[in-house]
Amino acid sequence: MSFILQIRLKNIDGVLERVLGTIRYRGHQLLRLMAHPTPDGSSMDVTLKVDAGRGGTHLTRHLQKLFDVEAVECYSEVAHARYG
Amino acid sequence: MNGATFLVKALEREGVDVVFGYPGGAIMPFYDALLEAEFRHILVRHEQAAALAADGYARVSGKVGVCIATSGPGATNLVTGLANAMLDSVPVVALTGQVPSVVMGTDAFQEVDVLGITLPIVKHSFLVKDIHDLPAVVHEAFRIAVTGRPGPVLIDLPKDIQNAEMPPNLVPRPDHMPVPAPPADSLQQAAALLAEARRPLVYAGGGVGMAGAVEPFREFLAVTGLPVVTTLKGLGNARPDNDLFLGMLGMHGAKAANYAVQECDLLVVVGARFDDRATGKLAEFAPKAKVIHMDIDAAELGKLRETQVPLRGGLIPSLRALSIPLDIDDWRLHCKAMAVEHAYDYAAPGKGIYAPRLLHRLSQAAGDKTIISCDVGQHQMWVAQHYRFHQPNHHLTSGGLGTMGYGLPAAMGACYAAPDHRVIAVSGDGSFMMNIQELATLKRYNIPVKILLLDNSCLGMVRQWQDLFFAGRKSQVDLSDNPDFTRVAEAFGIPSMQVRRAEEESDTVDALLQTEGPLLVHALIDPTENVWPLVPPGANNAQMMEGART
Ligand SMILES: Cc1ncc(C[n+]2csc(CCOP(=O)(O)OP(=O)(O)O)c2C)c(N)n1
Repeated sequence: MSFILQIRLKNIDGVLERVLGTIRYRGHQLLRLMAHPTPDGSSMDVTLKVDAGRGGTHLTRHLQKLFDVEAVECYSEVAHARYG
Repeated sequence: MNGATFLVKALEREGVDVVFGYPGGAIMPFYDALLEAEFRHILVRHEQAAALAADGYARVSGKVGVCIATSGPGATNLVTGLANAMLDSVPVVALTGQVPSVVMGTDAFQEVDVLGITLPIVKHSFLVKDIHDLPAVVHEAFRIAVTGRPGPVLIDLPKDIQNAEMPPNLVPRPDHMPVPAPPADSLQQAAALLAEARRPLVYAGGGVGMAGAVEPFREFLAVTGLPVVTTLKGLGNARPDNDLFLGMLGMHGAKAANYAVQECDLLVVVGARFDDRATGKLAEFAPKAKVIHMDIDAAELGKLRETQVPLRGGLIPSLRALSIPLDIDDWRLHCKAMAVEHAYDYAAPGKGIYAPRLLHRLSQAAGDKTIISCDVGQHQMWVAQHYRFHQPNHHLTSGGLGTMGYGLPAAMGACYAAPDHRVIAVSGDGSFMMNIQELATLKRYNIPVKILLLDNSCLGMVRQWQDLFFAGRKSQVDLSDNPDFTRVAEAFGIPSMQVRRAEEESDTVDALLQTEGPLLVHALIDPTENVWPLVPPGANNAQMMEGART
């Protein structure tokens, strides 16, 4: 199983490293990554695919704790269920 | 006004009264502005000590601790202290100088990517690239450090930002974010579980003190009559005279505490996180228990153990809502009987100082205005086992990172946070050498830290594990060539005394409690003494080992 994460980030120094570091440290493997700044350049939209690891809910909660993360949505690739 | 002067004023605005630091090239503009500061700067002798002193200050005061270092080696020397604050959730703000923006990324002299190095060990970090961002950054850093689950925040300050001119418009201090209360239906479910349980038990951690919830927690215990165990960081949560307090749980926990956890049918977890030192083999931890878990940090709920009722939010509303009298007399009597049956025994055969007994005596004589700051090793566990704390912030201990060298600098920070308290650093001969240079700081500022150095001429905790789990093959644990610590202290201008016999234990306690200024008590103890009980790695908490006393 894998998860798709859609994340909106503040577009500032080190923000992608923070997100990728959290994913690695929390035991998930990165399977795909797409990132681009929003039109006004203030934010960045990132779509990630990660392996299931300890589950999407935990990873989502850890990502939500990062201060530069504005929103996270996590979908299971199979069920497309949404996690808070 | 330049950025550096602004920074000093901003720290004053945040209510900072003392900072710990060490100057260098990239932070020189700030050190120049510091000459006009209204707060004190304590010059430590190693930046690690600045971070650890800020940590000790923060734990005792409940305010943000501030440490300062230059770029490059100054910044990297902070790293252990930041990780320490991260793992124990301590609000610290670290300011680091950085090379000028124009040369960043060129491997300039004393340039390291401290933002990158510290990413996983800070709650958040900032690199200030525009002078106009500085007011918001400083304020945000202080807010983030204390909001929700506290932690360290780093601000990296290129030298040109410190020198840049800025308009003197200080941002107003916005209020800290309110802590959410847990949902009412979850509280109702929790109350129902509590009312049903026959053998409910509280497992409380460092979150209680951090949330400023010690009194509501004690009130909750008084109304419910729940037996309680705590983590290392939760020691002091319960009143010292509470006869349903069974002690610390876990690897070196009290027997009654560990047995109660294994027997309980409901675990009420208050500001604790199922740390592996506390749970032993997780799959067999509290095997019969349902779980109610109160925590401010959503990421902790269900992280390691399935939770029937997660209560995310401030602890105080949960504790108040669950303060209901419970009809569990049989279980209470059973817990009290276990506490009596498994109470520590302080009789030891030898003629030498018996460290557990010495710490127990110190605890009995010290009263409620004494703070103990520990290093890491056997002595740290003996403090946790044999000293009864009146408040959680009277016990400074590196729980998450286990940082040898923590004790002395944290004790210095504690002295500034609570000048009306007595502060005793309990150290081991290995740990003490990791920040021994701070004796010079004690001397310079006449910081009245008393040091009780429990010297077993070895890295005792590692030696114990080699004896127990590596067939007694001792590898790199011998410290029998230690320097003469009393002479070292004297060279730094710190009075000292040496004790070694059991009959000197009461003089030792008197000296620690009655000496005015700094003091080193060098106590020679038995190198073969072990910490008991011990839950061996991979075992569950009921499988405690206990050995003979030497
Ligand atoms: C900085 C650091 N390095 C290594 C360790 C591993 N370690 C844990 S306890 C210990 C021995 C501590 O010796 P000492 O301070 O003399 O205390 P004792 O156990 O003898 O009471 C060591 C090396 C650590 N916790 N921290």
